[in-house]
Amino acid sequence: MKKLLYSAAVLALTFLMAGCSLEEKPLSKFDESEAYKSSTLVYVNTVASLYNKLNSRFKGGDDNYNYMSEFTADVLFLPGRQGDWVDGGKHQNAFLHRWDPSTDYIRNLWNDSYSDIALCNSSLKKLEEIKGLGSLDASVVDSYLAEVRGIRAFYYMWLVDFFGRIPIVTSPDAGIGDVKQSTRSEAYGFVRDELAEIIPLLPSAKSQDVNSEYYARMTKAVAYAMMARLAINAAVFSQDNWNQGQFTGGIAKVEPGVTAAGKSQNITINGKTMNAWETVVYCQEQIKAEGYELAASFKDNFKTGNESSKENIFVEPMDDNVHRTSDTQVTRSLHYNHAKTIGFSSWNGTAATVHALKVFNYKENVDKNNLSAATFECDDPRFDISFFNGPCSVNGVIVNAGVSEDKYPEGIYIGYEARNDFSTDDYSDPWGLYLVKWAGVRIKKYEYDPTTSGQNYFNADRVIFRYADMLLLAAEAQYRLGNKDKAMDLVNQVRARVGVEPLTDITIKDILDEKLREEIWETMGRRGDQVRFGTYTEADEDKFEGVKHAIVASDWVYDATGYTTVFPIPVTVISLNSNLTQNPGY
Amino acid sequence: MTKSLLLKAMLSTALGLFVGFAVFAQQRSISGTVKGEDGQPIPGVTVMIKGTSTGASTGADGKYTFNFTHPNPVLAVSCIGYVGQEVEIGNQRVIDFVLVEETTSLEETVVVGYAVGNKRTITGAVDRVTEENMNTGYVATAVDAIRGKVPGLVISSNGGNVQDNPTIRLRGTTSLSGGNTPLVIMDGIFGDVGMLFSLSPDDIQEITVLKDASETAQYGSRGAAGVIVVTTKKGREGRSQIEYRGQFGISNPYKKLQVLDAAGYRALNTGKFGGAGLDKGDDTYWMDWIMNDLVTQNNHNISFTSGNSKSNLNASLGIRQRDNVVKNAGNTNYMLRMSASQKGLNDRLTLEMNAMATFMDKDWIDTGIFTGAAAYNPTFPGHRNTETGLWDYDPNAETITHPGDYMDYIHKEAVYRVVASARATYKIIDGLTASIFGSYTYTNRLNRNYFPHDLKSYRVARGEANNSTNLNTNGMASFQLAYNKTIGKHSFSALALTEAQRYDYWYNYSRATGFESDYFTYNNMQAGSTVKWGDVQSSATQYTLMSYLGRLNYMFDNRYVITLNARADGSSKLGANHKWGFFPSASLAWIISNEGFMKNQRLFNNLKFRVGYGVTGNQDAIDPYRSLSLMSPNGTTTYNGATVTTYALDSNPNPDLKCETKYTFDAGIDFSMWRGRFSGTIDAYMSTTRDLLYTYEVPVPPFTYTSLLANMGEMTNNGIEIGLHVAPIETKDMGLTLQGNVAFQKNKLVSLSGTYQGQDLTTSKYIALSSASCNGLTSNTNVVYMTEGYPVNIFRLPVHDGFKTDDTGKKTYQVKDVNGDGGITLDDEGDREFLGQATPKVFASLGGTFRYKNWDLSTQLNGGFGHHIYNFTSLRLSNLGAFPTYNVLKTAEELGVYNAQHTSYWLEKGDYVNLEYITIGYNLPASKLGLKNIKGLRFALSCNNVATFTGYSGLTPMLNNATIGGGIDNNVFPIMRTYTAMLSVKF
Repeated sequence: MKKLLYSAAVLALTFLMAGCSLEEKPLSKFDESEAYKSSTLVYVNTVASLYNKLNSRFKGGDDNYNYMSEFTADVLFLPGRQGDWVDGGKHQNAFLHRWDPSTDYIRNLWNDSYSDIALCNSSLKKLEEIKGLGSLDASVVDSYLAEVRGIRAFYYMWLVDFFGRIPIVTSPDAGIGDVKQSTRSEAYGFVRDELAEIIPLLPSAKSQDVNSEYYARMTKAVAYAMMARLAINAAVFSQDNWNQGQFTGGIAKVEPGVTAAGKSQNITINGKTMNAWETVVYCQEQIKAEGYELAASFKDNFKTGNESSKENIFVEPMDDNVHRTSDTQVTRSLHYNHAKTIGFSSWNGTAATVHALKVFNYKENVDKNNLSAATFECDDPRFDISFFNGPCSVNGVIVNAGVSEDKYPEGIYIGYEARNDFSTDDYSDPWGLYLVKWAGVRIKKYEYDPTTSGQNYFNADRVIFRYADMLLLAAEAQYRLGNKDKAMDLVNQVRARVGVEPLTDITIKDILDEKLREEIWETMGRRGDQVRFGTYTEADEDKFEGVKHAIVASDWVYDATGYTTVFPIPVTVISLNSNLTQNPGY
Repeated sequence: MTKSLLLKAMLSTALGLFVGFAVFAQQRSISGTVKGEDGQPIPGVTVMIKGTSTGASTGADGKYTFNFTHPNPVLAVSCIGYVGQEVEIGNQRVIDFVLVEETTSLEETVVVGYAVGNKRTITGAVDRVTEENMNTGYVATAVDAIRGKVPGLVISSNGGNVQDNPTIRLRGTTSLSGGNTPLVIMDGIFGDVGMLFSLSPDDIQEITVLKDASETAQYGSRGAAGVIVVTTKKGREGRSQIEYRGQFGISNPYKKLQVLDAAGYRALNTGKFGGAGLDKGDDTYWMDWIMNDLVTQNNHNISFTSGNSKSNLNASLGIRQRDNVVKNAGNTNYMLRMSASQKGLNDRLTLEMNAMATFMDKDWIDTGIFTGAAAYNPTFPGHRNTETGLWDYDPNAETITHPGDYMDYIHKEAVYRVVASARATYKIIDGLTASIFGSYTYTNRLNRNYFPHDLKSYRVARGEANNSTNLNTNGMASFQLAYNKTIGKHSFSALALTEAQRYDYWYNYSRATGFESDYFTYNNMQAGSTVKWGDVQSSATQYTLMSYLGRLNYMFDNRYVITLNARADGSSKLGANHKWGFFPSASLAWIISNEGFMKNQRLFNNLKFRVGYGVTGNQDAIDPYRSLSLMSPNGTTTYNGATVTTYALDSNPNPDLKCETKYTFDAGIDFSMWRGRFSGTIDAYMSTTRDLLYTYEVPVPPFTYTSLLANMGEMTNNGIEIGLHVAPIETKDMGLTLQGNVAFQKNKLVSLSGTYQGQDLTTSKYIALSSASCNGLTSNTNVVYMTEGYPVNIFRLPVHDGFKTDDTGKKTYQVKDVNGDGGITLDDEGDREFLGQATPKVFASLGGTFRYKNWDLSTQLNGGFGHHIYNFTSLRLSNLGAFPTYNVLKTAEELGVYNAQHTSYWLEKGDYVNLEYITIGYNLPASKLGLKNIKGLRFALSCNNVATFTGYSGLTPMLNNATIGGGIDNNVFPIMRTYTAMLSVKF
């Protein structure tokens, strides 16, 4: 009996412990030992997954490059509409430059960018290992390495722009102690050298061509475009003390210093050393030589199927299947009833600034007692392509306003009534509520495709670099190099394409205004343009001392030193790493 | 006083009572001897003809004899300290009895985790609720049955939602990351709270709650939140019975939100607001529109049981149907349970098998419907437009969803659960048993949703159907040796156990959009035209646990008891170097009432002092694979003409992850006075949780992501618990018992800082736990916080500083410049103050039962004190600035506020007392009515949630404030008052 019992006990114990290991076996995720087992997996998991991350930095929402470039500048805003969109003052503070180190979109911008950089670093390390193993053709691995460095340089380029003094981290094994802040000029220098090194290594394929293997990937032209963007801002990025008033006080005051600073910055590409302005022109010419040109129609760059555009250099791919990312920019702009008649729902928010309307020379004549007689016109066809304005009709039927239906039945976007904040002052009068709901012209530009599976899915790729912008950057560079005629010629190429009168004389302000008309709402770095031109900190039609804002937002205060031309380092980042110090002025 | 001495004393008392009892001699006589199990005669036993006063008591030799005249007589034997017996006399003239000693309350066996002990030898803080003292009102779940019965056990819900499983906390919050719910052990099976909720309350024999580490250490890395041990009903020798229990209830909402009706809306709109709002000319009071004024709650349970000396059987079938006060919402639960045991091999071997199958069918409603119904324009029709067939939507009311949409959403949940277990116990020698136990639990949760294509939010997607399956299985096996031995004054009970468990989780989800017809709902996914990447998903996780447990209980001379537990737990979820944890405990009890110097006192029949210290862990806060660096899909791309999926690292791994460890000291006194008329338990405890798991915000760079789960913090929970029981009246015809308990809890987050791999990590000073936002209030929305040195769940709000009135007489909230910097900033570090905690500091209950002849009356009051509630519902619905787009409370116009802003204005005291139920019952004397086969028949009427006494102005103060971040009144379900008629029959 005892024997039997003993055997039973041993049996039971064996049964218990068998197959019960404390080692974890992941079932629906894998580790690195599985992730690079074929050449396809190597590409997919070291390179392609980085593009999927990058795509989400541009789509709708607050914490992305588009919002930071456009909504802190002079082109678009999200007005407070009777409490709607006040969001605790978030958007109004962004527009009035009253952010601080704890502002959430600034923190998220930093964290998201560095998170992607960390993945780039992991990819680079993995690719070096794979190269060492020799399992894959070395030239293929080298091209992947150049490509990933290009993606990383892209992030760093934006970070130099936004945060100035940033840590440059290039290894996935860095500890907190290894993360040290660079000066802005060092960080700028890192991006410049990286780009110069990888340009020769990248292929000449067309990045916007959906049939190309290099669709939406780093190519030579993309790297040149990045270099052009970096070089045009070299005069700003190379300044370690940016808050000495050199970027404040308006175009006339700022222009000489910036022009001179650009001339003193040398950049070497393909063995050729040039100053910053020459580099911009050189890059534009190289891109042209790569086969890029202005599309016949301005609209072609933003329509469904814009992959055929020869003008788009680098895009965030958007389709309803493989590259399916949601973009809420249009959704959060249109009036509810307008969207409803198109067949979707929306949040009635984003509008163009009065400043932007003026630059477009938009004409609007509205009498509140005779709304249907109001007139709206703009000579520049880009305005109608970029915005829903005036009576908002779908298939010829004017949309119902949804406010005090007997008095104001028609839904009409009234552009010049757009304000940073709408108060309750006129509330006893339905016209007040009407304005709250209908003021401001609304975002259009990219073609809306009703056949997609959801209203935030588009079939038009979002443009990151476009040849027209390269022309305007080159125009600015030529102007600063003293070649006014060449500058005017370049600007007029862009104007001629949309059929507006050519300039007969040119000032540097004309270039800034042309950029607004051409590029509004695209992520072309409006913020950076304004900093470089010296208007970013200045008052304009929409922001000025005493401008109305929601109680929870802060007053606009003139920044004479220019410290707001760079965002603060997020407080969470500084408090977690004692190596980092705050940017001056914050 | 030894046990036998005590017994003799009791016996002689009983004898004395019956001395001089008249003995009648008529017609027939009956005689016999009454002996104990030990063969010794028992004097002073009353032997009577049942239902009469005819009888006698036994003499010193245990013999009795008397005469009687009754036809069909039943002889009844009763004696204090022994189990009574009844025998039909028939033609017998001599009837002998062998009486079995009644186990007194102190000697009753108690399931203490793996061990079985008795109340006397327990050294830890253990509470026990048996069937007799469970709640008597409408009881839908096992937790309803014990609500308020155990000091320190807090059961809270988000108002009166019958679909939500209540939150259960024992001695407060001990972890920030999860695993705060007590471990549920049902008949030895590792369960979860879901298992507790699916069990029929009628099937429960008793629930034992292990509160301090003296005993919870038996469960090692899963014992930190306490353990609820459930013992279900089993067959018993000598009992054969069929029982039906039914509850028929009707419920109505106890209170509703009072917003403007159409007339009120119109008056305000055309008055102050110049007619800016839309008036569709209808009159729909949405709050009433979404609710039913009378809903039903029905429980039925039928069971049978039988047993003899070899086998026992128990089976039951239950149905529980509950409707919510909100339309289209409710649940039905079906439960089938069986248990059987058989002895063999000369009674050395016992085989037990248990199985339970339950099916729960739920119709969900989004709680957002309360916001929708409160704020929607009441001039809009409460039906679809007869021409378009669509709901008429207010184009401006974009931040809320139409109540009709909510009603048309279909949310179905079905939970299938099968629990099976088997145990073989073999008695090797006297006192030594070995047992093998195995269990398997299977839970499959199916969620099915459909959103019709003509509803506003689904117009673009043209309808959506989604289905998901969550499959959880848990297999467990253990081998146990138990040894009990008494040598003279020394009693030992030892236990050794080894155990292995594996948990598997599998999840599958599919979604389709593009439905042109709503006919199929979720039943035909092919009817949807669109399925995209990410619309079809599955995932799987698995983890294993291995454990060794040793336990020793030693008692000397019935006076000193010591219990030692030691458990080693290995878990696959933990970091490579921390797979194993060790959890010891030691506790001591001194039974003072058994000391010599207490021999001559009659006040205390039990007085025990307990003290214990132990270590328990919490690994439930850790999901599998958190210590590993893994990649998961993050999108698709095109490569060589094919679409391929891309992967990326998905989180920061922490290879150093380990269990949270809780160190608990507990000291307590158990006492029983005046022969049990007054008894109670007082416990004081101090616990410290170290290696607290928290998801830290870490710097990026160098980390890839901003969050890292790491063990660094420290938290303490201290408290005092008092449970008292008084029985001032205890006679044959009348009885009154009162039970009260109170628990004082003090939680403190000591630290959230530490070092991770040589680097100092800390957190922001003020960490927001929950926020509330609405139209016009969408940033700086945090309300409930935690910070070092304070309890978790503390309100940190801008301080109300009166109202600011503008030229037009409109008021807005004014906020105090707390930090005196001349400006107002409302972020976490800005102008905010700590203004009280969200979790009650004191929980108290008072229950009473009054019995008079066949009638009984019972009631219970539960209360929570010392906390605040943030009345966000009133804040949101008092904003005239949102009117006329959004409707407001009736009180809003008088308040006259035109904005929405978090301030202390809406922070209210949350103290409350709820009269949980009043039950009146009547036990029908079936035998008197000639219903021979009926063993018991009981009717009862009950009212649940009779009244809530509170100063809180919102819907109900009973909301979920025990969870982390709780305490905000937002979309709280109305409490239901339920009237129930109950019937139970035994035959």
